[in-house]
Amino acid sequence: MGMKPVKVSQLNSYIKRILQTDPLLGNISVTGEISNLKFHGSGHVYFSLKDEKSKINCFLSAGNLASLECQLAEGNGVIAEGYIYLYERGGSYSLNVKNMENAGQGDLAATFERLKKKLESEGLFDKSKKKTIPVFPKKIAVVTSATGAAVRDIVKIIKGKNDCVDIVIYPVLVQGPAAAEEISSAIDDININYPDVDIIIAGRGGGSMEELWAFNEEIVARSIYASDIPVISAVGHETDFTIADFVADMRAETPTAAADKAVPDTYALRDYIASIGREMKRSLKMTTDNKSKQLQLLNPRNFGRDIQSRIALEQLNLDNIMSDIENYTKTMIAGLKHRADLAKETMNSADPKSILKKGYSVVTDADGNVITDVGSLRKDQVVNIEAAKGKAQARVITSQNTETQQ
Amino acid sequence: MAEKKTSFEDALRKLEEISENLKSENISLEEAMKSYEEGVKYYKECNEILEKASQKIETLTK
Repeated sequence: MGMKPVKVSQLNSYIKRILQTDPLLGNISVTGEISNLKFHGSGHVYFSLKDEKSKINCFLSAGNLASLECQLAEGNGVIAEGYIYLYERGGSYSLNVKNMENAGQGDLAATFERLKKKLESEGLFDKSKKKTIPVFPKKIAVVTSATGAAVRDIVKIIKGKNDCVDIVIYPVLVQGPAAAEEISSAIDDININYPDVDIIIAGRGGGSMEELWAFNEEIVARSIYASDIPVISAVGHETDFTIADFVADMRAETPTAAADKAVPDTYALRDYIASIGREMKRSLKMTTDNKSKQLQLLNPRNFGRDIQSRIALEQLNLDNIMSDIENYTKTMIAGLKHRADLAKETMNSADPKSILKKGYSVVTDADGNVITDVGSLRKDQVVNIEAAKGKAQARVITSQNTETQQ
Repeated sequence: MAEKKTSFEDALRKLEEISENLKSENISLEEAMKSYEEGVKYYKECNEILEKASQKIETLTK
């Protein structure tokens, strides 16, 4: 130590003088992204400005806030104008902001958007280029930190769901300046040296945008795109979207979700296959049962039975027809008989004998001809008289034609 | 990816197809028997893949 010790307050006071007399630091413009935004009860505003590597505390007084034109919001990219101020008691410095304006989006967000647009226009996000994730992978490579929660979650989920797939953990740094390079070369290496890997899961657990940044680097995106093995991205939480997510063949919301999406449930699969086996047996039995039922119908014995019943039916039919004919004939005969009886009666009533009974007689000549004209009779001619009862012979005494007389 | 002999996916898909086919009402007996035999083959294949696989978990060292 070449100098006698100074008090802390003396040191801070000295640093303050250096900082606040520096011509650059006295009036400086800083561009960055707002984070940790806090509105104090006093009306003052405390926040940080950050980029992908660093951050600085900022102070905005209530008075300056009133005249501010730009929107104060978390994540907004701004250009802040002010001077560096050292807070002696805490030994911390901050940017005392006098004025501030929008810088479009923050640097990180802007970088993200720029790269996203570039890769998109190159077709790295094309749906048509996405490889299908195999349904039944035999080997899965996990590119993540060997010590993070992500790797534990992934292994736990996979083991709980699938007892067939092999898991290869490829440890890499997932944050810091070397992370992107490691992740990228891990994906390349797996493609070259472990071609039997069916799916690569690349990711990490949740963190700030800076901590997830490696997955927004172009080099990682290029390796994912170039990978022949399908890649599932699994970065951070559900709300975190990285460039890796867009270029990956499948995006999983979290590492846990990635593990779940990557493997089928082998326990359920066994049950499913067993059920198909049973179903096949049942179907075959049903088919054979149906066929034998059909065969039964064509059995000659049943066939013969059918013919016999058919014959019986025809016989019955024939009998019916026969009895119909009989009945009809009988009715007809009865009708005819009735008519004959009627005719006989009529005939009876027309018999000359029945007229004789009424007191008339029939006169005939010797030859038996009925006399209808008295003029044909001569005197003393013998005629026969037939009455109802008995016959007599008579001699004509006179004859007079009644017709001529009149 | 190198082409494997029969993948589990293929075997399972075949098995499902055959099972569906067996359910059809106008399948002939010969076809049903043939399908069933084939189905049993895929059924065994699927089960074998599931039974034979023993999970390995390794961490690569750099």
